[in-house]
Amino acid sequence: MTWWRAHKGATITAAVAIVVLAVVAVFALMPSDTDDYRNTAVKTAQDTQSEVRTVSLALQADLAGKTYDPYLSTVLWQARYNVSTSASDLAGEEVPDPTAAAVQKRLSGLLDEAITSIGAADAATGIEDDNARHQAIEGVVHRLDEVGSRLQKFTEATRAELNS
Amino acid sequence: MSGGAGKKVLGVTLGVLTAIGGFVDIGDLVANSQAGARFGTRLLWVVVLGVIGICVFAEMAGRVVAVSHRPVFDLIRERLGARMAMVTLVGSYLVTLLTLGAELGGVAIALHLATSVNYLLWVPVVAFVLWVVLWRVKFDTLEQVFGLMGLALIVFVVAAFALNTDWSKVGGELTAAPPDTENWMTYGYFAVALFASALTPYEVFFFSSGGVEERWNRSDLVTSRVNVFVGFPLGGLLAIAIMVCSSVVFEPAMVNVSNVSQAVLPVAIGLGKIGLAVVILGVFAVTFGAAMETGLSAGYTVAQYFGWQWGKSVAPKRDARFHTVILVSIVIGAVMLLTTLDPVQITEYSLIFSAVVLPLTYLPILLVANDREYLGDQVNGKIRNALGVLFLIIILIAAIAAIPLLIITGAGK
Repeated sequence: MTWWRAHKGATITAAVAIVVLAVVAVFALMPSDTDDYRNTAVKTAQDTQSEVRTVSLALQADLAGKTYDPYLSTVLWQARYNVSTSASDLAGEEVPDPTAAAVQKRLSGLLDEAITSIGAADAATGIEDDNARHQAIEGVVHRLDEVGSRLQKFTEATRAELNS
Repeated sequence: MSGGAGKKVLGVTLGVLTAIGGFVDIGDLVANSQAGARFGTRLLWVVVLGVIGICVFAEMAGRVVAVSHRPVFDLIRERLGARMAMVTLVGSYLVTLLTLGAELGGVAIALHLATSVNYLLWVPVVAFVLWVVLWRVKFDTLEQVFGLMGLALIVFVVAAFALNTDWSKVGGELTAAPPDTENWMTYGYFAVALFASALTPYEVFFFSSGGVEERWNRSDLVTSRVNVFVGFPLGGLLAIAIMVCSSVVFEPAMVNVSNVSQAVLPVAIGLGKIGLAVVILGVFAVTFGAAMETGLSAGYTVAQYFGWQWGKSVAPKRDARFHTVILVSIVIGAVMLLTTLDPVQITEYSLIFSAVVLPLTYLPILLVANDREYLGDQVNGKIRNALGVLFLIIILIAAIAAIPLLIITGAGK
């Protein structure tokens, strides 16, 4: 009784902490289902779409003479890094069933295109001849916008599947 | 105007300008950019609420310092006892440490944007320079140089106009529900983050300890109030401009902001190369200024709790423990970044954990500001108390909601 009185606060705090940790552990270790996978895919597609469109906006600003090289190369580096990380995170996710595998197949193709397009942006900004550089960047902007639209469509369709 | 009066006006003006530039830090930059991109200006009211909240409590903290000549944390320990003050110390110090790491990351990223040299290579350099600056440079110089340089972020206000913002849409969104792509949970998560970004605990510890360093007395009450009631709201205006710019450029494109290079892009689009250069300078200044403030706050809180000598006005050899805490905190912040943790993610978590510990910081201020033993005739009146209690209730709601919202939304994802 005396021990309980002396350690009441600490014991309750420890008990609450253990319960919280147990709940977190249970959620973390539960096997994923198709909807979990769809949620992860939507988030990956949204993040990639953001990076792709950011690069497009930055390149358009560059075409208008509104940015300078160190900034642009940082934007490209960040986009490449983030999209590659998203792609490898998705690849590491457990694919629970054939429905989820179909989602993975559709998204992986889009992620590859995004990475290739950002790489093309890097190459275009490195061209020394002004006219050729301008033309190449315009082409990459068009390509990035297309990839962005397809990622948006993927997100909307997958979200609809989740809500149905 | 006499020389003395002119000097006083200059001092007040400088204080206000410093408060404007010093109001924004990496937390405001990240939270406002993200909220603008995802919710347009639907969460703008939270910034206004946060600014009123920090004004209410910073005024109290300034009054406590000017009358009692003691910093807030010192009084927290005396008023609430060692055990309760230890809880406040641990919570505030850990959040300040996280914020320090985020600010160091912000400085390094600003240098990355200016030079294209990877930010991780800048982290040790920035940490070393920060330590040297905190060791060697005078308090006034530190506060004024970086506060004034932080005014460069006014380019966000100019950019908001250059981007042809539809102001009727801004007004219309103020009372609107979340957009279709979001839900009330993510809305709540970002509301808590924005609110915490305005009321970060280190700000009040820095403000009150700075008042002691500058030897405030009753005659400085007016200066302190002008700084708070003019400087902070104008600083809040910069935060709102960041949100508006982000909403104009990113919301229609459905772009989520996840890094600082994105946050400054609207300024480049609106104002071109010069605007871009100025905004990067502004980001550098506000994050370096905030890194100094968080570094000093870490030292202030620990030293004031244990009753050690502290302060920039004391020779370092006389307050070696205070400077050691600062050095250790900087090293921990830098190591945290060198593990390649994303500075923006550190910022996001620091804001949510800030929200959790806010009551520990602001309840004691309200209690001390009501204690005649410390404040005599300057104790809170009815209106100040009503505002203080109202904001404490809001702070409590934010604190209780922060962690559940973090878990449910997966950190706002």
